[in-house]
Amino acid sequence: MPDGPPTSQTLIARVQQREEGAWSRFIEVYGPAIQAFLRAKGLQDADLHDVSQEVLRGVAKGIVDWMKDERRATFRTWLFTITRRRLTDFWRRRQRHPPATGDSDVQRQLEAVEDYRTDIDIWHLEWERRLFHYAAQQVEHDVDRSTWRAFWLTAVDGRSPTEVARELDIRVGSVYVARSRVMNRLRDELRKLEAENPRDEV
Amino acid sequence: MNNRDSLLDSERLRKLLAGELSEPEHAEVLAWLEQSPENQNVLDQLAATPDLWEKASRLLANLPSQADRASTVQKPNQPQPPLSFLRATNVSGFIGELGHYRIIERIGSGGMGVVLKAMDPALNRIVAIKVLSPLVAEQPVSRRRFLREAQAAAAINHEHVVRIYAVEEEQRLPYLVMEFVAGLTLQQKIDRDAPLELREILRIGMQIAAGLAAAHHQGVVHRDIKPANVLLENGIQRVKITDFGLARSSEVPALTESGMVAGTPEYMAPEQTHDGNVDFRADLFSLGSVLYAMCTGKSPFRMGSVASTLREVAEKPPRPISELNPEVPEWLIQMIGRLHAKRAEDRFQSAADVERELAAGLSNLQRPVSNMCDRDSAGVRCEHRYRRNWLRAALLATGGALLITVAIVLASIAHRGSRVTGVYDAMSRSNPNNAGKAESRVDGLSPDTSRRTAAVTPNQGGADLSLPITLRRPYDKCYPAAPTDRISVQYAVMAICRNVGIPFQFEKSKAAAGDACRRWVYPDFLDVPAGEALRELLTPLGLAYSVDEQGLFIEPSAMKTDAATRLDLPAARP
Repeated sequence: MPDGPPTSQTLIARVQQREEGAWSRFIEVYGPAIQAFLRAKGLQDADLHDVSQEVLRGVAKGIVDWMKDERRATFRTWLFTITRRRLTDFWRRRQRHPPATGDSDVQRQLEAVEDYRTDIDIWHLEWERRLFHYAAQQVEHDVDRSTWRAFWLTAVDGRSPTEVARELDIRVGSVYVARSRVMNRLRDELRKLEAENPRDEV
Repeated sequence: MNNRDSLLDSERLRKLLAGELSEPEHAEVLAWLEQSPENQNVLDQLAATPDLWEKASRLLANLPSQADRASTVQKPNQPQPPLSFLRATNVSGFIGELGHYRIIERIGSGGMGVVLKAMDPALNRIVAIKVLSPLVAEQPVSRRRFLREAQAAAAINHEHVVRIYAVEEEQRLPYLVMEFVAGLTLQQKIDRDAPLELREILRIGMQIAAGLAAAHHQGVVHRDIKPANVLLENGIQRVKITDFGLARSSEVPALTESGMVAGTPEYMAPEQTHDGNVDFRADLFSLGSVLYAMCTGKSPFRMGSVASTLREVAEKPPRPISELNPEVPEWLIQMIGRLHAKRAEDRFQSAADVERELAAGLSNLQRPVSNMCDRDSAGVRCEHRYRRNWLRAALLATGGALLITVAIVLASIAHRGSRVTGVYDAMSRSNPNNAGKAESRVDGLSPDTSRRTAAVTPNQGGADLSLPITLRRPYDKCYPAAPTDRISVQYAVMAICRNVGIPFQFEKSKAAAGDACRRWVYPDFLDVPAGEALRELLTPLGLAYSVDEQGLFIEPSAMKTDAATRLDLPAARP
């Protein structure tokens, strides 16, 4: 793990200290991970937003205590715990007031919520995906379009550099350089995100 | 050899990645890279570990469609709603029957129901059937509205609108039988190919405008124009707009818990976020957003960042198209800007006008001298007009931001002076009978109030701005409110009320049903008591309110947002 800034400088700490802008950045970075997890758990838009708001409220409320806890879990795990708890609450409520149809569906989803191992796998996947997406957006914003396309078409879409070079009308070597540059930047962005949660791994 | 060794020098490759090599050095390294896959490997590994390359490929795969993912792409692990309403069939090749239609397969699911591909045996043709979700259908009001809207949409007969053949109902479950269009949605095309070529942007935009013009002529407003609702017929790529008027019918106020929400926030018009009275110009705003998305690959107002401060409520213009795609001509950028005017009256005043301008642009493009587009007389005229509107929009936006700031500053003032209950009592006494008109309250105010408000420096409220702000779901479904929008005031009022602990209530109004988008602030919005702020905020704004033992009442007429007057807040904080 690279040396990040001291703990007090992390995003989480800044949120805890109610530093200006920290909370919106927090939501920007982590909100989508929460939502993706909930979506993967079968929530549809409206419920999904409600539950993720509950989660954010939970974070806002609990963050001070969490920071104080000497033996605290990683931030990623803590956020998972909150998210999962809110989701369970949601299904419980839903079961008490089941909609007219789809009871068996609810039952099934309720059982699924109990499956902790699956959940944490989904969580880690969505979390990583979100960090990659976030980092990618930063990089995409900073590099020119053909550099980004060269990276995207070869590294993500898996097309051959020769073909892509022809399409973008650049040298094959330039395709390699472009995609490595993007990848390199991506790595740096991910490290920056890591540094914001020094106890977590990306 | 020597040369080759120095190339392998990782310091040199690092410089390459950082873009610090000189031109000849750079060319040398390119040649070296092209020599062998081994050399390419060296560079790859220097850039990132193989693990990271693998993850990038896997985790980024669905990034481009992210903006619209929630509404268009069915995640594989998302449970599909059951098709329990289908009757069993014994005809092979079909999964069930509905009415006299034989169902072939499910082709989509959305918030409002499922879409099925089916065979109409009477006419021996393939159709698409949209079945209203049972959750929505069980609300008689929504069911009736769905049927009514669908019938209106069925009257549109235009080559760029998906034809509705029939509107039927089986066991109280309404469904639409529509033309089946094989092809991509515009969203899929954007995900795959964006930014689109100018010619294509103009052609598609023009056809959407033509379809809208036909619908508007029939008095039908789409209300949810977005790339996912624009189908591109295979082969000829003819545009077909689908889901006319349905967005609204699937909004069921009583369903806030179970959650069927229609509309796509990124493409909504400002007025859709607060006003039930949306007219065809809302579609024009959304058309602007669709054009924007075709030009840039992104929807203009992405809520991915869960707009999280109140300052974001005071609207922002989208990121300039020229930053995202320098190839888009200025006249088109300005045209989109005009479609994006926050005030409906500043937009184009008919879809036919938009169609004409796009058609003119397209024919210019097809002329031998193609870049005359932005210099023709129409272009120049428009440019002038756009600029003025833009200035106005900017001024309005500033005003909106100021309003919000004032609210927050007021709240923080009240925080410092802890006269909350006193103020409440005073208000109760001054309006014992809940009979007031706005003027009488304003009279009671010190004439200095508004000036004093304005004089408060933002720094004083600064600390409070960074409090966690979370907005309830409907907010996410919305485009930020227009700056002159009274609902911004309403937010502030409600939030303050909640935090002060004053019970409050807006009078319900019939227009509440079907409101495309209702937005309320979470109580966390301002985490400060703000009794005095309440009075100071309400009165200068000319909002009529009254207080009695049951709480605070704000006259809906003063809110000017009939549809928004229905209270829909989460239960009070413990």
